[in-house]
Amino acid sequence: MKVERELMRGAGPVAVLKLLERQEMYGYELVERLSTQSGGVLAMGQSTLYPMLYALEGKGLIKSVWRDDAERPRRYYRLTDKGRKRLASDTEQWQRVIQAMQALGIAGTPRAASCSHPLAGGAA
Amino acid sequence: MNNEPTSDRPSPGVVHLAHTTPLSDAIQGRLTGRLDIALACDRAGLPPSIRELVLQTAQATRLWRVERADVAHELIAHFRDGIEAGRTPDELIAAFGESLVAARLIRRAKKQSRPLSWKLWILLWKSIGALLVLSILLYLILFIRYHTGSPVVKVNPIATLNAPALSIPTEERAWNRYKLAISAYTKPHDDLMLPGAQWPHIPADSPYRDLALATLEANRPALEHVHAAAAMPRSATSSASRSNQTLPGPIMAVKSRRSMTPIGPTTRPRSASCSPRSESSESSRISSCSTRCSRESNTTPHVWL
Repeated sequence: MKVERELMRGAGPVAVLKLLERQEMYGYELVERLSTQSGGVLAMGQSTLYPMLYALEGKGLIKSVWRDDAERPRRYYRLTDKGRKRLASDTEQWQRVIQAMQALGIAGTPRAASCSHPLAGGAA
Repeated sequence: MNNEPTSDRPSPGVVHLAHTTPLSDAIQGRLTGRLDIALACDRAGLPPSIRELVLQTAQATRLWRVERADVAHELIAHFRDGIEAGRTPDELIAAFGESLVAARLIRRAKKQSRPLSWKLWILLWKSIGALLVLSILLYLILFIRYHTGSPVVKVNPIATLNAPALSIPTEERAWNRYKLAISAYTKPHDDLMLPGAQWPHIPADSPYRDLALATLEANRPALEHVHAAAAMPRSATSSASRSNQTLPGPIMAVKSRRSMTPIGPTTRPRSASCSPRSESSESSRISSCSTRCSRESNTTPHVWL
């Protein structure tokens, strides 16, 4: 199930920043990771992903570089220091939202939530 | 849909490559032709449907040439990765979404990444444009108003000026009495105007003294009016009562000088005017004469005007 557009607008950038936290990735890799690690929930079309990447780069949260390492050039994205700070801030905010949702009975228990969300656990 | 890779395009010439090579590559001595998106698609061996999608998206962004090529190369890499991962072109196109939507979003995001100097430059031109439009609009409004409207007097400044004077009760308006005094004023005899008469400083033994006293006597009614006017608290000067004026003239409400101190023989003459400076000199003359009258009984030797 895919999330609504408005929700995706808030969750998408955080998810991308989280994926780039440990290693740099190129566009298609990000698309695949987002889809597989979120169980398809955060899968987004490339028409959404690339503008998001450019916007994050414009804000200085990520940085891109062209590399010719794998037979052909690919554009790799990595997190900047500013992006790490933003990710930490956004993560904290999302945790509060999740706690609030749990308190309202909308989300599951914290234990269940942490186990069921691939991005929070075994992303590496 | 024909999804076979196409590479039947002839190799580009040096001139074309030079024309489509960004300056950064040219400086390094490489003719990459990186700005030619179609060439990049051909070199990548993309299926025609994907090639078309990439070209369409890149063109629709309406970005700078270098930015457009950058986006196109990334999309080419993306689709090549997808094909290598075993996805069909149709699947990749479907997963990509609307190309025009993507182009619009990419354009918006890329413009945010442009240098501050460019943003300031655009802001400057937009401001100039807005100012120009506003000026033209304002000019048009004023032009239409000038040619279609007619002036309407909404404020009567004379009425505003008159208001303080009109608020004074009629019986307290000194100016009415001054006007009566002016009407009753009699000019001095012509002989008094002769240099030898020393008018108005007439000595007690002057042959013109009787003539001067007669003049003063003739002006007694006027002087009485002046006295009465001077006793009033305010002048309420108005020329609005002039019958030959359509609009009332300036009206001044001033406090009249009540200190009509009798003038002694050696004191300098003071202005005995009970009205402002703009009032006629006739009234001041009469006022001075009133002083003279008040002192007749004291047989003062000089009359100061």
